[in-house]
Amino acid sequence: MFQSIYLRKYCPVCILIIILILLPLFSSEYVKVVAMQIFIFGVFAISYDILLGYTGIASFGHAIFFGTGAYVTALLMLKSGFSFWATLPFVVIGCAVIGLLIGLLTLRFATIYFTIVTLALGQFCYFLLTNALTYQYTGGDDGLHGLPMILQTKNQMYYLAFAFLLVIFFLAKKIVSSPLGTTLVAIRENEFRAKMIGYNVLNYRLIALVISGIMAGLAGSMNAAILRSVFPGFMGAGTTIDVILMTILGGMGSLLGPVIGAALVIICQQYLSSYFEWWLMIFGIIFVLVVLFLPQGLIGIFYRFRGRRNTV
Amino acid sequence: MTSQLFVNILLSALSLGVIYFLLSSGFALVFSLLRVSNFSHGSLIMWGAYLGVYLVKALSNFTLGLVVSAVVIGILLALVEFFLFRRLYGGNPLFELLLTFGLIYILDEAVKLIWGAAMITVDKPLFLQGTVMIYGEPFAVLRLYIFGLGAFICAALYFLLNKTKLGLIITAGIENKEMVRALGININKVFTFVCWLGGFLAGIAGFVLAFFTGLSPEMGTNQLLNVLVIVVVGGLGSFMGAAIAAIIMGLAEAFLGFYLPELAILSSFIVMFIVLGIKPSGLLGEE
Repeated sequence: MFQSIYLRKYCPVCILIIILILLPLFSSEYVKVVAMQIFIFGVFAISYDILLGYTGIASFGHAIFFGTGAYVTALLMLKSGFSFWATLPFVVIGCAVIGLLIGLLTLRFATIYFTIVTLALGQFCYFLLTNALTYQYTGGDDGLHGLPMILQTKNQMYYLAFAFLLVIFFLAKKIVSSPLGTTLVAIRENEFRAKMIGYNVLNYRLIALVISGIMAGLAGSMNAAILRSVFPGFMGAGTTIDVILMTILGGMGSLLGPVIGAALVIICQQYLSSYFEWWLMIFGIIFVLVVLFLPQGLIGIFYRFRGRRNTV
Repeated sequence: MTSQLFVNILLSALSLGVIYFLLSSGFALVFSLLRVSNFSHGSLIMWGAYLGVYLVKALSNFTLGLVVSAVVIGILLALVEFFLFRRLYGGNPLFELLLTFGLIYILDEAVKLIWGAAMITVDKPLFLQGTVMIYGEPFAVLRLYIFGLGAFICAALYFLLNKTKLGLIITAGIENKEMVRALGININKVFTFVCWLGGFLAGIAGFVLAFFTGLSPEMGTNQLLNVLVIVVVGGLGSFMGAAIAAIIMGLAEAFLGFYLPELAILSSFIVMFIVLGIKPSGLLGEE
């Protein structure tokens, strides 16, 4: 009995994982590249979900971490000859430090301030990447190209990206169900009460920002390794907007939702944009409808449906 | 630096400041009463520009076209308030922010569908062309006109907020909405009116902006960051703070552009970090 409930609950997930494992055996190169982008942005969206969905603070500069990860990896690999794996500790440390700095600078503001100041900070970092002073290091608008391959074949890269998504997903799941995660939700639900109980709200938010920043940075450096180039757009407002769309459409506060959102947004970007010139408008309408009527996102439909079936 | 040059830079700094004031006044007004940070403000500015230029051509009357387009943009935001914002009051303010964020897509794509994505240059009408001599230096008539417009709008808003009964209700609503409601005033109608006014101001600002940047679907969202920075520096919820911050931004950008041209693009961030470092709630904002 117990086993069968478990089986029914996890059956679709297992089938999906098996399909994704077998995918590279019979798919074209292009599909593989799109799938890898989905995995990377899935991780990025999970990291954003920890911030937006569980901690309840809306950063409009999350691409800072993504771009930092990508550029740290690219610069160390190209200029200092590091291997990809050796750059990861630097990415983690770099993103943690940036997260601490941004958090100490902005988290004491009320939430709307935080949103606007992070948006400005994101643009500030984008200008830093593209201006004339840093051109010799960052390559300006052209970005950096020709990173060495980290694995021999595309298939190996595919499995690496997929494993990366699974590891981060389970890590994030562990974090949000730990005492830390439940405290974050408590603060989101009622900041004043959490403060009265004796939690240091600022510290907890800072921790969430740092964790989320590190995950986003790792996604960024993985993206650099897979594309074998980095562009200043990684740090730009467009990347932040993408991750917001993914998290909201998929369903914030669920971890699985943002991954689905990432798949949806990237597939639409790759396939729809060539058929409709005005697909972004449809996206905007769907986005507004989701915000108005489905605050749990598209995964909320699934939960609602399952909840009804269970009660009937 | 000669005093002539100084006066010239000062005048263009001030006219830049007035443009920034026009751009951010609508946002500041809507935020101060409704506490909605309207991210689609930039798109409304862009709509004001397209519609204004179109109507001026269609009606062949400058002032009439400007006013009609601004009124229409105002009605647009009032409708958004009536049908969309109203569903979200009292909930998580995050959703209001995300809603206006989604509106950006709809408004920007709609403009591309109607007028195309290509950039369109805007010709100044005859009476705004040419220059006048101020302190021995030529100065564009257009900028003088913008001074006049900015002064007029600032005065009109000051009169509305401080000298009329409606302004009294709005000011009271900014302080304490529940009390205004308890006094038997339908504050929802006031919300809709303030949104109309915010849209009206965005329409006028967009039309003015079109003379400098031309028409393009990105012209509004490009200004969004400036608007947000100005409102934060002025202190969220403080209308006069936004006006002062707009002038400071204009001064910073023009003078940095003269002395350190590489840093001019970062001037607004520099001002923001300095002000927020000293006073996190902004110039005139309360804690």
